[in-house]
Amino acid sequence: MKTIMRPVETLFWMETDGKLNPLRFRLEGQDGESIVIRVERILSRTEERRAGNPLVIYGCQGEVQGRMRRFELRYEIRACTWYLYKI
Amino acid sequence: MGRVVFHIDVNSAYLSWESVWRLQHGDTVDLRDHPSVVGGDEEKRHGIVLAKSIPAKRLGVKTGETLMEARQKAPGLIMVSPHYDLYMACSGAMRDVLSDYSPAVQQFSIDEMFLEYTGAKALYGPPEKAANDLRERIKKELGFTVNVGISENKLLAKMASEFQKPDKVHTLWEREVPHKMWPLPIGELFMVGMRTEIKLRRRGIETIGQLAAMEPDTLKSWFGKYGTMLWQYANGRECSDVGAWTPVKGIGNSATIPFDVTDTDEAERILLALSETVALRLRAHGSCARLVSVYGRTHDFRGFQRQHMFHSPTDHTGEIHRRATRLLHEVWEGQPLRHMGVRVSELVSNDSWQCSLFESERERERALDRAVDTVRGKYGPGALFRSCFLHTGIAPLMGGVSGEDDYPMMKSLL
Repeated sequence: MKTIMRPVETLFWMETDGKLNPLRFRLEGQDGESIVIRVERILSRTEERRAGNPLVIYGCQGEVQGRMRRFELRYEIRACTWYLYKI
Repeated sequence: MGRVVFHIDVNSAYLSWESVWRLQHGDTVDLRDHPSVVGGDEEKRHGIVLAKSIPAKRLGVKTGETLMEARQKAPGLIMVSPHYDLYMACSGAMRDVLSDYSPAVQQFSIDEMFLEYTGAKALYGPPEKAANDLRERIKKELGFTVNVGISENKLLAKMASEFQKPDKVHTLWEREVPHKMWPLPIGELFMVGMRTEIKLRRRGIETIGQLAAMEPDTLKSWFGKYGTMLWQYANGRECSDVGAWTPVKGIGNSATIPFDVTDTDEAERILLALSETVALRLRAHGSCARLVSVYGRTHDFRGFQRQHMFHSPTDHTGEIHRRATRLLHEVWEGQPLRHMGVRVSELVSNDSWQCSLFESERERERALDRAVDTVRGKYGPGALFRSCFLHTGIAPLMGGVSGEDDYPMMKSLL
């Protein structure tokens, strides 16, 4: 997987205890075209607070251009921003 | 076992925090492994080195020198601007970790904290083991390294954390003072600054041990109460509590200006911006001040200071500014200024004030100040400002760091 750390528009749902679960996100390509990638499965969920900045890290799996691929989404709690960290 | 105090000191704080934040956000370069500095904006001409990496230190880069001087020593130097809100978040996160070990945690500065470990021994084990666990936990969870100093009091714990860095735990128990602290150069003792060091060396005192062996009355005759304190410290004696509250003695703000100020209107505007910040903080503190002082530094680093005692205590922005302006004109002859500051002290509570026969407008001015504070409190400091700042390039509130009034600056008292 390659690290890209790009903010992405993301649809997610929230459980009653405040846990977030990403559903799908839009990735803008370099040619201006965007693709929507669905999160088929959340493989792992960890929290970190390096530099005092709380993040939730999701190891995910989803279909990208006909292939099942793994990728990592991160949710920066303070900034309320989703990032595609690695794909 | 008696009292145990930890002193926790982040290694190259600004740089470490900046580095960890960047790595968290996908950067592949760890600033700590390359010649790098955290400093102001070189384009605006008010940049100095606030923090440096170990590779930068090896190339001769010093904290406090200008970014231009630093780049001459290390041509490929990476420079990043400071982000004080990030540093506060990192400091807060470290404080949260420390609070798991003891309820008595004292923030000494943005990157230094004391922890009273005495009551926690039964839960977390011997002090050295606990300190190492703490150090590892901060490294793993927060991503940066710290030094931990351990002793029976805050002074010795702080001295201990200054021994070899980074990422280490050191003890300096009272019984270890003769062989670990006394051989050190006199300048290493807490509260001995450059000028005191020169004075002591002139009198033949080169090491902390030599200072400790002096008669305390001799030091008192040289330096007064400060001399007595130095003798106590040289002998490892200090007994303040962790978390002891020190009352606010004064409130001040200063700013380094990115251009040489020679114009009177500009200087007065800067003083107004500083007075706005100081008065805002003064009112938020619930105090009035009896003394106002103005200080400054010219482009060739010559300093000046002037102060004035009010007839009756005030918290009004206009009054502080008017007096600050008069003080400036008493001492300034138009030479280019690069640094200016306003400070108020001799604080009293603002719940009552003595009316003066000469101040008929007092109530209206107070009401105006409070209205402005309310608007700024609700909508941000930039919501309301005086029109004289429009199109001038001068910020309407100046001084401090990014408008964070709670930014914990280094204290000098334990």
